[in-house]
Amino acid sequence: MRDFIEQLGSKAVSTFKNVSGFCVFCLKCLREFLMGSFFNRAAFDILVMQIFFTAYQLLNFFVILSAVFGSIFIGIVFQTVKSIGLVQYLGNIIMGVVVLEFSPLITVVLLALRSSSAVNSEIAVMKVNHEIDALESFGIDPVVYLFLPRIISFIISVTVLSSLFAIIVLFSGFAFSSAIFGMSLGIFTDMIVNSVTVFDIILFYIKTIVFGFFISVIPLYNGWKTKYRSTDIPVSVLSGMMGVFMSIVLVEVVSLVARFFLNSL
Amino acid sequence: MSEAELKARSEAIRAEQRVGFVSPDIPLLSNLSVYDNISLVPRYLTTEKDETIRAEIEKMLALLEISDSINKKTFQIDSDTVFKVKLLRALMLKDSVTVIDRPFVMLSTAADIKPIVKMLDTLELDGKKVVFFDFEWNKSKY
Repeated sequence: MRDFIEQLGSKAVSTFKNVSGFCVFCLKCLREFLMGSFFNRAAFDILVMQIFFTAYQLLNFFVILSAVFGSIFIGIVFQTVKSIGLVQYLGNIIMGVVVLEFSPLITVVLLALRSSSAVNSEIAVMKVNHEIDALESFGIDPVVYLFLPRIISFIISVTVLSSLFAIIVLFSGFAFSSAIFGMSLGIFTDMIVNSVTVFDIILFYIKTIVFGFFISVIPLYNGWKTKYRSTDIPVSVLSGMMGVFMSIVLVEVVSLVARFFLNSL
Repeated sequence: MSEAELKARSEAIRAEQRVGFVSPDIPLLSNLSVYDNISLVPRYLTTEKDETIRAEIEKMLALLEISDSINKKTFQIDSDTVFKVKLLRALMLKDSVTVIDRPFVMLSTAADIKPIVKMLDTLELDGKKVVFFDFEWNKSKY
């Protein structure tokens, strides 16, 4: 019994330390962001490079993926809507499900798989190789030079790519609605505009910003707290990616609850 | 000299002035080129123009005869060049003391301090203070 209580206590203490360490890390990043530290030219170069790696390099693949995946998904949705006779809710389904929920989710999952893992291992390797210590020894703040540009680039990338996904899906939606229901562009546009509120758009962008923040800050923190042992690198990436997954689920649930409350007002 | 003593002496110097370290424990950044490694310090810490920084670095690389390494990554250069790049990076820290920590660990081919002194003379450092830290048993090499 005593062992069990000790283990429980030890687990609680380590969880508390981890969570408080993460909060302190987030606050440091936020403070530097508010101070505009990313305008430092060395940090700004990193920001531009990270946007290139995270968003621009992915662009061709992302456009093809959005067109193919979005079209297939929207085609299935349209056929289902037609078969159960819910055509009058078509606009709400396109905007509510496909554009506002599906677009950011697919984008964030893709970026988490591709870039979050890369960032986590990059920072962990830098830590193990004492490269972060090297920066600090010359008075270069790793939060400003390494972390902040990556966080901002992720936020920009998730927001821009989610918007792009939404636009491509809307084009697919128009193509399918004209093919399946014989709908004109004017009617389609009216239907979309009438089924979305300003709150929905605001929530969409808040969600993409929060997604971008979490899928960058969690791997960065995990990479940064890696011990000076190469065997800790996979452990760091593993725990970072688990954290990213949990944060995606959490943000998705919170956004769904928020939308439910906003729509019921 | 023990590591703890080295650290203590380093801290003492750090308290007085900024220190540009050239040490086997302080590596170059592996994802940056030679130029980016050296220019990072002035680009981050000062408002000097990029052109001025580039000209200064190109001049120093030429003096140390490693101009051809300017765009190479750290894994593409030999240990002598790594030492020179570390030295240049440390020298880019303005108003600072340059500390060369255990030079013979980094320059294993050097029999004594002469090649390093020659490098420092070549760079014509205007009164810049350079301090060496080393093990007691390397005393005869100085």
